Amino acid sequence: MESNYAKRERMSGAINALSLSPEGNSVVVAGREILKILSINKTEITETLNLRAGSHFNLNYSSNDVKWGNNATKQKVATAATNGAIILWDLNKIGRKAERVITEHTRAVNRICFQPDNGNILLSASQDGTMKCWDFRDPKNGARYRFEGKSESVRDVQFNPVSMYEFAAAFETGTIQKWDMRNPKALYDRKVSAHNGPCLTVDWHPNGKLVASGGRDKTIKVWDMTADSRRPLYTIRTMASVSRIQWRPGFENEIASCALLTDSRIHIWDIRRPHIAKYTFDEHDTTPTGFMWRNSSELLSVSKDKWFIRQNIAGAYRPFDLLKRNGMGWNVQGDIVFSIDKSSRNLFVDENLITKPINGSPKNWKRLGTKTASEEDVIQYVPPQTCGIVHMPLFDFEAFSVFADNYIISSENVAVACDINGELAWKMGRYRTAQTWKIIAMFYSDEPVEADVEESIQESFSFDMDRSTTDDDDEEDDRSSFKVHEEILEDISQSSEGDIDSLNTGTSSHVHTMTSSFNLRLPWKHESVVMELLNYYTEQGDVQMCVTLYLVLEKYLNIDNERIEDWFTAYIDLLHRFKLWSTATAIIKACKVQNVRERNENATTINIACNTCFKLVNGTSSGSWACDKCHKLLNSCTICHQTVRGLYVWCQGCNHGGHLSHMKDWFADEQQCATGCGHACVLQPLLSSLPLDEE
Amino acid sequence: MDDYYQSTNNDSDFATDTIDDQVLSDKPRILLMGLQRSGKSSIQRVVFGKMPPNDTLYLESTTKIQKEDITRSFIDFQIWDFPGQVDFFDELAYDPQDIFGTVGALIFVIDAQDDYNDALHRLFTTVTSAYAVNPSITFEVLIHKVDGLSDDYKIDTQRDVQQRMGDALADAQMEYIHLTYYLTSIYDNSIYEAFSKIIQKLIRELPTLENLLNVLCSNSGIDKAYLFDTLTKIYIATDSSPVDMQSYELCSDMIDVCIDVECIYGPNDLSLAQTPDHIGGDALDGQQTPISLDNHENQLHPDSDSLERRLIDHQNQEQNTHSSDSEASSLIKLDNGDVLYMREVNRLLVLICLLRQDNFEKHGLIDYNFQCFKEAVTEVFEFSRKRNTQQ
Repeated sequence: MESNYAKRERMSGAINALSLSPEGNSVVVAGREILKILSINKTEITETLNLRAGSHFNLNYSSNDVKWGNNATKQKVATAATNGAIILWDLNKIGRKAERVITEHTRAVNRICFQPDNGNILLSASQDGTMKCWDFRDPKNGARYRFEGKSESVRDVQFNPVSMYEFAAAFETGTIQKWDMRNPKALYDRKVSAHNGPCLTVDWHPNGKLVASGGRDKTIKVWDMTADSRRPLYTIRTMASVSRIQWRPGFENEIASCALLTDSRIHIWDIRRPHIAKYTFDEHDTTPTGFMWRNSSELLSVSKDKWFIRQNIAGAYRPFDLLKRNGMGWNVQGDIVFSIDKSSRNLFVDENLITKPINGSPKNWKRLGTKTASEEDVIQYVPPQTCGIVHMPLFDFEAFSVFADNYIISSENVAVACDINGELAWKMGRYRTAQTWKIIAMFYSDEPVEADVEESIQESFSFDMDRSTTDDDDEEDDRSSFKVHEEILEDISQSSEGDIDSLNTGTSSHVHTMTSSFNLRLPWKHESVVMELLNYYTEQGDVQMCVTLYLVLEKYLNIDNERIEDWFTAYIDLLHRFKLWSTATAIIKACKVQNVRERNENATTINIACNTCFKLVNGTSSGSWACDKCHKLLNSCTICHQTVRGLYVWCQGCNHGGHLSHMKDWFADEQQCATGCGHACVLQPLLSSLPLDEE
Repeated sequence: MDDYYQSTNNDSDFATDTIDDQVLSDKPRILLMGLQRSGKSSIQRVVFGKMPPNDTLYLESTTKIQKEDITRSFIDFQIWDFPGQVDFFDELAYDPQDIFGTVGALIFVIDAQDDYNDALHRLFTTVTSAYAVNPSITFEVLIHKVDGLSDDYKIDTQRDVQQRMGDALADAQMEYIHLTYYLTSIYDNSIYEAFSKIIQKLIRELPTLENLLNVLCSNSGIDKAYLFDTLTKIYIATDSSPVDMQSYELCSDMIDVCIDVECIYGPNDLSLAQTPDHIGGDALDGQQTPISLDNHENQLHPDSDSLERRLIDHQNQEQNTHSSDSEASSLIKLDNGDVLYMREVNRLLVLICLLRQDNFEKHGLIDYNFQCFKEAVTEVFEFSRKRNTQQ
C-alpha cells in the first residue's frame, strides 16, 4: 500500500541536501560523494545527470547544502562545501560543469540561499559567524555584502519570499536575526533570542510576516517579524532536536519538520494544535538530512541512509488516529475525573470551532500556559471535550483524617484508649467501628491487674499465692466484675474453634484447680477473637483500624513482623498522601519493627525558616543565624541585639525576649519590657523563680 | 585517580607545553566575575578542578583574587577567580589596566535563581570599564544556576537579561560591545558546553582544526567527531555539524571511563618514570612488542541509557618516527548500533568519534585517516608554536 504513495531511489552515497528546480520537475541531491540531477514525473524518478561524473575527489565537492537557482540561473545549481567553498554549476555547460568556485569563507558553509526572483544573488551562512552575499553578474569573485551577526556560527539563512531584501538568519547561540540588505548600517534590524541552545533552522511563512524557527531545544517557534513582541506566537514541542522545517505550501497553518537525531520521521504540524503532529511520514531508516515540499501534497526527502524518497501525504499516517480519545484519573479522596473528546474524527482542526480572540478581552480565550496576552491574533485550537468529576463513596477520607488525628495509639491504658476511640468512631457515624472498640474495651478492661495475674500465673504459683493473700481485699471488691468476665469467657470458649484455644482453656482450668483461692481469675484468651478481628479489617483494607488496634493492644498480641510491617507501611503511605505528616511520624515512632522505624532514621531534614519573611535560612556554619532575604538576625535578644543561641526567654504578653541572663538583669530593676513597648512584662516573677542563678 | 593521571602527563613533551614560565603571566587570561554567591568558584572548581558539583556547596567564599594556571591541560590559560564582594572599579587599589590589559575573555556570572538587578548593574559597569581598557576582550555572560528553572522560565530569563543589557548599552551608546549569553548549570553538561565555546573563541587554530575534523568525518563516514581536552572534558573543536547534547554527554562519559581504566590497567612504568625522557628512553625500548594488556574486555554495567556497552580498551605502544609516546584508544559499541571510537591524539587531546556500526567496518581506513589527522594536528600546533616564539 505504501508503495503507491512512496517512491524510492537508492543513491550511491549519503545525501546531505536537496533542492527542487523552479519548474518542479527536477531535483538536485548533494552529498559528500554525489551530486546528481533527478527528474521526477508522475510515475517514476530517473537520474538525468551526474555532476560528479569523471571528476576526481575534491574537498570542494563535499557538499553541505545545495540550491537550485531561478530565473537567470535556472539552469544553475550552487553547492556549499564543508571546507567553505561555494561552487556554481552550469547544467548546460559541456564538459566540466563547475562554473565558478568561491572560497571566501574560512570555515564550513552551512546553508546557502538564492534571492527569490533574482537568481543572481546568493546568500551564504557560514560557521565563521558571517553571512555573505554574492552577485553572479559581478565577474569579480569578491562578496558584495558581508553581514556579521556578532554571534556564533550561522546555521541557516533565508530570504523573505515577499519583501526580497529581507532575510532571516539562525545562529548557534539560539538567536534569530532579521536583516535588510539595503541597510547600510552593519547591524541587524531585529534580533530575537529564540531558543535555548543552538537554533538550527528558519523558514519564512509565504505571507512574509511570520518566521518559524527550530532548534536543539526540541521546539519549533513561530515569530511575527513585523511586531515588536519578544515572545513566540506559537510554540510546538517536538520529540527531538529540530534540524529542518518548511511551511507546507497551500496550507498556511501547517509546517513540516525533521529531527537532527534519534527520530527518523518527518512530522507535519498544525500550529493551531501544537501538541500532536497532524501527519507523520515514517519512511527513512535514519534521520532525514533534508526535505522539500514539491507541491502541497508531495514531499521529497533525503537521508544519510542513501535513500531519496518521494512521498505523498495520503501515505502518511495520522498519529491523531492512534490516540485514545478519553482519559480518566483518580485522586486519593476517591474522586474520579474523566474527559471525553468531542471533536470530529475527520477534521484535525475544526475551523468552525476556532474563535478569534477579541482584542482587549482575552478572558474568553483559552491559551495554554500562563503567557501574557499579546496583541497578536493568536489562533489556537482547543479540541472540544467534556469532562466531569465523579465522587465515588468508597473511602471516607474525612473520617480517616479525624481518626488519624485523634485516635489514641498508646497501649498504656487500654480501656481508656478504647473508650475514647470508640466514642470518636460513634461521633463520626462509624457504628461498627465503635462497637469493635467497645468490645475490645470490655475484653481488656481492668487489664493492668489481670495482666499481672496472667503473667504471674505462668511464672510461678508461689508468687501468686503470696499475692493473692496480700491483694485479698481488693479481690473481694472486684469479684462481681470478674463474674461477668467469666460468663463472657465461657461464651468465647464455646464459640471459638481451634486446637490451641481449647488447649489454652485446658491449661487454665488446670490452673484453676490448682489455685483455688482465685479461681475467678482465669486468664482471658481472647487473642483469637482479636486476631479474627484484625484479619477482618485486613480483608476490608482498613489499615488504619489494624494499626490502631495493634498499637493499643500491643502488649497482648503476638503477630509476626512481616504482617505488622505491611500494615504500617500501608497506613503510613496513606497518611503521607493525606499530608498528615505528624500522625505519620507518631505512627512510625510507635512501631516496633525496625524496617518501619528506619523510615525516619534514613533522612530527616529540618529546615529553618526566617520568622519574618518565611524564606528558608541556609544552614551554613556562619549563615544560619541570619536571613539572607530580609537581612535580619533571627531571634535576636532585645538587650544585646545578638541572636540567641540557647534558651530564649520571652514575655507571653508582648512577645519580646532574649537571653536569659540579660532578661534577668533587666527585670531585676525594671518592670516594663526592654524594647520600650510599654508592656508590663509577666516575665519578672517567672525569672526570679527560675533556679538558674549563675552566682 | 585523577591526580595520578594528571601527574603522569604533568610534564609531557607535547608541543604546546613549551610555553615558558617567563611568559606565564602573559598567558591569555580568563576572568571570572560576578556578584558574591553567584557560583564563580564553583564553576572554576567543577570545570578545571574536577570537583563533584555537590561538593561545591561547601566552598568558602573567595576573599582575594585567585589566579590559577591551567597547565596540565591543553587549555593553556590563566583563570582569575574574583571575589564577588569587591567592586574593582570603586577601589583605587586595583589598576584596571593591570587586570584587563591582557585578558582573553571576561566571564560574568549571574545567579538566575536570585534577583539579578544588582548583577546587571555590576555587569554593565564591568563591561564598560573593561572595554575602555581593552576593547579586544570577549565578554561572556553565564546565566547560571538554571537547573532549578523550568524551560520556559530559562529562556524568559535569558531574554530579559539580554533585553535589559541591550537597552542599557544602547542608552550609553555602546551597542558595539558584544555580549554572548549562555544558560548554564554545574549539575549538567551545559557549563562544559559554554566553556567549550568560550575557549574555542580563544583558540586561533580553531578554523583549521574544524576543517581537519570535517575532512576526517566525511572521509571516514563519521557522524560526529570531537577533539577533547582530556583533563577538563572541554571540547576544543568539533566538526561543523550541530552539536547535540546526547553525543556530547556520551563522549564525556567515555573519557571518564577510559581514564579510570587507564589508571587501573595502564602501563605502570609511566607512573614510575620520573621524567618523560625515561618514558621515551628506557621504558619503551623494552617494549617493542605490544604489551599484553591488549583486548581485555570488560563487561560494564548497563548505564542509565540502558545501553550495554562493550568496552575494549587496549594500549598500543606504537613506535612511530615522530614521537614514541604511548597512544591509548578505546571502542564502545552502543546498543542502538552506534560506535564510539576514541583515539589519543597526544597526552592532552583525545579524538572521539561517533559513527554507525556499518561505517565502522572500514576500521583500517579510519585508523589510517586518524594517523593523517594526528599528523596534521601536530603540524598545526607546531606551526603556531613557531609563530608564537617568533613574535
